[in-house]
Amino acid sequence: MALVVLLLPLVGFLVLFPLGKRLPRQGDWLGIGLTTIALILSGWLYSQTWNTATFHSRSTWFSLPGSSLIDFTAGILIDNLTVLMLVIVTFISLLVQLFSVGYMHGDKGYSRYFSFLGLFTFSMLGIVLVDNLLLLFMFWELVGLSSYLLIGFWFHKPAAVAANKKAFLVNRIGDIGLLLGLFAFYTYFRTFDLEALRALIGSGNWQGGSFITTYALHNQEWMVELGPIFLTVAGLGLFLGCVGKSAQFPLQVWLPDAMQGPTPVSALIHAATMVAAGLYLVARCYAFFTPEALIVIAIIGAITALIGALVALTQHDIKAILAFSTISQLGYMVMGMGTGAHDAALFHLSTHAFFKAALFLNSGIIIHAMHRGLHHHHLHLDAQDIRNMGGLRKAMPLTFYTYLIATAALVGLPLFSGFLSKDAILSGSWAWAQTMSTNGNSLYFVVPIIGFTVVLLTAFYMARHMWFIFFGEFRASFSVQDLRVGSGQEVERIMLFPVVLLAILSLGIFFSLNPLSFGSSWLMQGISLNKLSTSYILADELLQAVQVQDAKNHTLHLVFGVLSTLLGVAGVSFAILKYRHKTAAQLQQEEPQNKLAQLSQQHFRLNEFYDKAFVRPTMVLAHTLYRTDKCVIDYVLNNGSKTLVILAKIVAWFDRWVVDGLVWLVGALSKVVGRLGRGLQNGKVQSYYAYSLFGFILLMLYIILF
Amino acid sequence: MNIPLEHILLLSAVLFSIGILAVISKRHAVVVLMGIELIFNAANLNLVAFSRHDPQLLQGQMFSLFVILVAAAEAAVALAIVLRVYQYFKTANLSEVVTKEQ
Repeated sequence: MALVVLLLPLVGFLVLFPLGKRLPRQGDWLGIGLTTIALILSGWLYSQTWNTATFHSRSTWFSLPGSSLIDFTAGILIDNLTVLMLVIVTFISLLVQLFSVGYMHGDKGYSRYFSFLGLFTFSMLGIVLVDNLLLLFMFWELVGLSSYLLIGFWFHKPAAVAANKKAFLVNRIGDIGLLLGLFAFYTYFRTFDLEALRALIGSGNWQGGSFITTYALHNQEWMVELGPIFLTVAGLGLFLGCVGKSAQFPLQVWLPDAMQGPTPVSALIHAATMVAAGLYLVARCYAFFTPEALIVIAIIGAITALIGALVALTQHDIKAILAFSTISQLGYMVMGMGTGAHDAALFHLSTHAFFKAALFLNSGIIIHAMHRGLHHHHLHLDAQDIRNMGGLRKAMPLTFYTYLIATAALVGLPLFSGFLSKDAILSGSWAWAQTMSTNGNSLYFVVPIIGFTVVLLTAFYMARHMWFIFFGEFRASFSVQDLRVGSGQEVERIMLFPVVLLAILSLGIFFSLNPLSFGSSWLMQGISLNKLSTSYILADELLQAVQVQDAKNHTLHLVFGVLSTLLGVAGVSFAILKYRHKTAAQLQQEEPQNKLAQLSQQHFRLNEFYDKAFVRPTMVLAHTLYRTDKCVIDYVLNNGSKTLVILAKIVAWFDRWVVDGLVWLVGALSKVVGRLGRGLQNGKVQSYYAYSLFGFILLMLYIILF
Repeated sequence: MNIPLEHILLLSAVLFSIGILAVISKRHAVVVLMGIELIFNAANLNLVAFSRHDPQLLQGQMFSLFVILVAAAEAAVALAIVLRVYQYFKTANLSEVVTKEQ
C-alpha cells in the first residue's frame, strides 16, 4: 500500500516527462490526480498506523559473496513519523500543484514542470518510507537531482542556472559527510538497516568509556568496541548531510539562491520536501548521536537560527525574506533536535510546513499580480521588491488575511500553530541548558537565549515584511486595483484555494485542543521518542534527564509562553513604530543605514567569503594548473619530442654509416678476398706452378731461417 | 783438370733458373717441355758433381742415368699428350687450352 503511494508520483513523472505535451491540458490533471490518490492513501495509512502499530516489511535486496557481509535488505518502515511525513508531503505537494495550475499557466515548460514535481514528490516519499540508510541515501540524491531540475527550471535565466549549480554543489559537501557517516556505521555494524542498527546500539553498553556491542554473523560472533569520539564523529558525519540539505550554518548559502525557481517550487522546497529531508534524517538516526554530537547539533542550529533571522531583517526581495526566515526556522528545528526536544522539532517541522507553504504561495500570488500589473503598464520594476509594493491590503483582501494568519503563526502568537511548536522547542532547550549546566558551566544557556532573541527578530522582520507589502500607499506608479485579475476577483480561484486551506491549517486548534499548551498536542504526543523507538539510544541518559527537567518546569512553561508572546508583540510593534511615519518615497528608497545593517543585507558577506576562500582559490588553482600544463608540461613535451627527433636522426645516421658500414665493410672485404682467391685460381697450369714454387721457396726460407 | 764444385753448382743453378723461367713464362707446350729437360739436366749435373765426393763411387752417376731414362720416357709420354692436345684443340699454346663446355 505504501509502495503504491511511493510509486504514484513516479508514474506521474514517467508519463508526463515524455508525453506531457501531447496530453490534454498538458497533463496537469494527471499529476494532480495521482497526488490526490496518494494523499487519500496516505490518509488511510495514517488512520491505520497512527498510535497503533509499527508496520515494517523487509526483503532481501541483493547479497554479495563474502564472509563478512550480510545480505542487503530493502524494505518499508511505517510508524507515526512516517505517516505524518507522508501526509504532509503529499498534502503540500497536492496544494502546490493545484496552485501551479494558475501560477505556471502558459509557461513553455508546463508539462515538464509537473513531471519534475512528480519526481520531487516521489523522491521525498522515498526518503520517508525506506528503512535502510543505503536506500535513504539513494532517494536523498534523487531529491538533490529533482531540486536541481526545479531550481534551474527557467534554465534560460543565468541566475537560475547559477542557483541550481550552487544548490547542487553545496549539497554535495553535505553528502560527503553523510556518506562518510554511512561508511563508518557500515564498517562497524555491517548493516544499513535502521532497525538493525538501532537494535545493535540498544544491545550495546558502555564499559570503561568505550561502547561495546556484539552480534552474530554467519554463526560467528563479532564484537565491536568503539570509542565515544568515533561515534560522535560518525554521527556528525550523518548530521553534515542534514547541514547541507536543511541549509544549516555554514552551508545555508544555497537556499536563498534557490528562490530563482518558480515560487510554488520554493514553497515545496522550503516547506515539505527538501529542507525537511535533512531534519527527517536526523530524526531517523536520532539513536546514533552521542550527547557530544547533540551539543554540536544544538549549537549549529542556534547559529543558523540567529544568522537567518539577522539577515532577514534587511532584505528587500519578498522571497529572500521568506527564504532567510526558513533558514532561521530550520535552525530552530535543528536546535530543538540538538537539545533533546526531538518531538518538538518535528512538531515545528509540521506546523512550519503549513504556514511557510502558505507564505510562499501567497508571495507567489503577489509576485504574479505584480508581474501582471507591471506588464500591463509596461513598467520595468522589480516585481519581487517589497519597496515597490504597499497598500495591497485593499486590493487583495483575501491574500492579506491568509498572509496575516500565516505570519502570526510564524511569529508565534498564541492561538496559532507556530506558538505551540516554538514554545515546545524553547522550553526543551531551556531544560537541556539546565541539565547540561548542573556542573556549573552556564554557557549552555546561550542556546535558549538565542532562541528567545530569534523570536523577537522574527516578529520584527515579519512585521516589516507585512508593512511593506500590505500597508501604506501603493508605491509603483499605477493604480493598485490593476493588480486584480478582474472586477470582483483578486486572483485565479485555483490559486486561492490552497492558500486559504493552508492558512486555516496554521491555526493552533488543529494541532492541540488546548491552543495555549503544547503538552496536550496530539501530534507531539504521537511523535515523542518513546513512541518512535522502544530501544536504547546513545544519548539516552541525557534525554531522560532533559525530559524530567522539562516536566518539572510547569511555571517556567507559562513564563515562556508569556515571554515569547511578549517578545513577538514587541517585535511587531517595534517594526510598526519604525515604519509608520515613513512616507512612501522614504520607504521606496529604504536602504540599510549603518555598517551592521549593510552586512546583514549582504548575508554577512558569507557568499563573498566562500567565493574568496574556496571558489577563487580553486579557480586560481585550476588556472595555475592549466597554465602549468600549457607552459611547463607542453613545453617539456614539445622540446622533449624535438630532442627525441634529433636523437633519432643521430641514431639513424649512426645506423646507416657505422652499423651498416661495418656490415658493408665485412661484405666488401670478403668480396675483395673472394676476388683475390678467384684471381689465383685462373685455370692456368703455369701460374699454379709458379704459386707452388713460390710456396715451396717460402717453406724453404722458413726452414732455413728459423 | 780439377774444376771446383762451386762453379758446377753455380752452372747448375743457372740452368735450373733458366728451366724454371721457361716452364713458367713460355706459352708453347714444347718449349715448356724443353724447360723441364733443362731442370732435369741441372739436377743431373748436381748429382754427377756430388758423386765425386761419394765414398761409394758412381752412385750419383747411376742416379743421373735413371733420371735421363725417366726423362726420356716422360718426354715421349708428354709429347704424345701434346700431340693429342694439338689434335683436339688445334693449338699447342698452353694459355689457349681451355676445357671445352660440355
